Amino acid sequence: MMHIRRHEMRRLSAALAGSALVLALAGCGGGGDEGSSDKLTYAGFGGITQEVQSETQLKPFAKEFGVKVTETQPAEFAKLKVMVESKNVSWDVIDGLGYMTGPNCGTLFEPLDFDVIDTTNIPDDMVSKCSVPMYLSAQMLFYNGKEFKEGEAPTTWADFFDVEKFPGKRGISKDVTAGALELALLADGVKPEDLYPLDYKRALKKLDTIKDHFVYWSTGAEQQQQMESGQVSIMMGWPGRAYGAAQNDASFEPVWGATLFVFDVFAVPKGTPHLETAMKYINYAIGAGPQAAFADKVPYAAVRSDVKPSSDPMIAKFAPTLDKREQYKFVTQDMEWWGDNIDAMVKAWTAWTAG
Amino acid sequence: MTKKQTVQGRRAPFWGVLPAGGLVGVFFFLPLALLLWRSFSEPSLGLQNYTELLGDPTAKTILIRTFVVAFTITAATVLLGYPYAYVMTRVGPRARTLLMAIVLIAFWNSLLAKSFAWIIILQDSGPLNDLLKALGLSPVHLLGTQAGVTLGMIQVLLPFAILPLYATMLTIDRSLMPAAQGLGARRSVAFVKVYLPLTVPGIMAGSLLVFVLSLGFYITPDLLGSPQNSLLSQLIGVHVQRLLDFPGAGALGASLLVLTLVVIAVAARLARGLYAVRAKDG
Repeated sequence: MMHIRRHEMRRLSAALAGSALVLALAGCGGGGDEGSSDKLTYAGFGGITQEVQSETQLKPFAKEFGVKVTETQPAEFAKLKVMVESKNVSWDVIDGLGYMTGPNCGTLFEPLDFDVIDTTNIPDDMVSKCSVPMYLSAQMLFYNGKEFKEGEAPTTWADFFDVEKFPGKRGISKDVTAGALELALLADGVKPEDLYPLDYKRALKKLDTIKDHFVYWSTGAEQQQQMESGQVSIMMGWPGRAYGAAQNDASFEPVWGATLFVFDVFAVPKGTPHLETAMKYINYAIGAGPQAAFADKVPYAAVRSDVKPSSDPMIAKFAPTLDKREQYKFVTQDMEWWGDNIDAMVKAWTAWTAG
Repeated sequence: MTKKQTVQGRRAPFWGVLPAGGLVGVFFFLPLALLLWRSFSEPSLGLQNYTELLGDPTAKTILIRTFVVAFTITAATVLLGYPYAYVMTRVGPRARTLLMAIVLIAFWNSLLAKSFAWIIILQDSGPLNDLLKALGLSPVHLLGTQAGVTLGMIQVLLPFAILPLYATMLTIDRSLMPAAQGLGARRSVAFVKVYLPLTVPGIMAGSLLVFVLSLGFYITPDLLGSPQNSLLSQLIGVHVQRLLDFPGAGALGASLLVLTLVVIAVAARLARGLYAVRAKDG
């Protein structure tokens, strides 16, 4: 059984973020070691994703370049903010998301050195001043193959809202950035090219029509559990979790026609003492060899167009590859827009859900 | 009262409080003060974080919900814990050890483990619904609802009600009830007039513990509930983790602290009032 814990720790680690704040404020933070350029600390989100990254990217890099690599998790954004503000940065490279790096480029994150980092074969729209893609993911619809027969199963965003034709609970993320607003607007007939700026009021109104049918998840584990226990009939979630559920005898089928394309990014916290090594590592990890080795083992896809899909048919079934992106015309989440609007969206979402 | 009187003529070994006091001071009161300060000083000096909070209907809804849930849980744990604690004082030593062990094992178990177990129990295909179906009743949807959260929290917090109740009941003279009955009171009257008033300190201590703990509970409601019934601690979580709004979270935390202190003050008042009435009766 394979558990893919991508953002598992994000919520439970509020306490950690809090204690980091306390330490930083009290001036007692343990300092990262200064200067030396042959060290690197990578902060990810744990689980199998980081395990495979460690095995296929971090360890080979350490060996090849003679760098002492330390790994940690979770790469909490709150914790990172406290680190940078207190000038006590102990992470050199992190697993981040575009909405973090976009608006905080130059303040919380170092601009990347594209003389060192080679982005040939990586789609331009995924590269920004402070970030390059780490691996490809998606927020997409999955339906329970045991409840809906092929041909009678949901195939579009709109089907998610048709609770008469497709009865059963719907799983969505507690996190507004995960894509519920995009889902609602696309289902309501907004064209993908007109999606941003998001008309969030219209989106919430649409979501309100089936509010009683939602089941929320906050971690990948919870998401997978909801699929395995049959708590939901349709899930808007991560491919890795549907894959994990499939390994435990659940059968949630991907709806590629309803896929919101997202990707995690490599980013470098502002003020890291190991800037050069960080750039060198990022260039290494997005290289063809390490990307292929990673994508062969987990159902998240390589960021390069010159990497072939996994040879494992189960992984290939769930991986949101660049080829599928082309074929099914995935809608790409506009992280720049999210970066500028995240606070307003979190507030509106909290008011809608909890109010 | 002077210092001398409290220590009965001898100087207390003051340094004894230093290690614990220092720990609490540096790692609790100092950060608390800093967080409070940030809630008044950021983004600019003033009350803006608090006025924003007052004008926010979501915060108000969640605050009321949090207090309703906390009251429900307090009432339920005391009602369930009272007879349990009472029986503990009445049975033989062996049965008492067993009853105590049951409470303590539930108490010592990991909160996370208990909360995850409740997810399994409450889910639509879980044992609780299987039982209802077996009894011919219609299944209920509990996971992700306020009822589910309340149920889970009652179990988690029950020991906090039972233990103070039991401690208080242990100190009550066992011959009082027979004495009252000997003087002609019916058993129920003796209980209400004699026994119950003597357990008021235990009821108060248990209620306060449970009430204050439920106001700030995070993990159990987060795992068993849904955003549609979030409590105050989850709203604070949203401010810290999603909005990176430490001042706003500080303002929410400070409001919760003040409201909690108010509740404690009112409860202490009430308890004192009850004693006074009893003293007059006597």
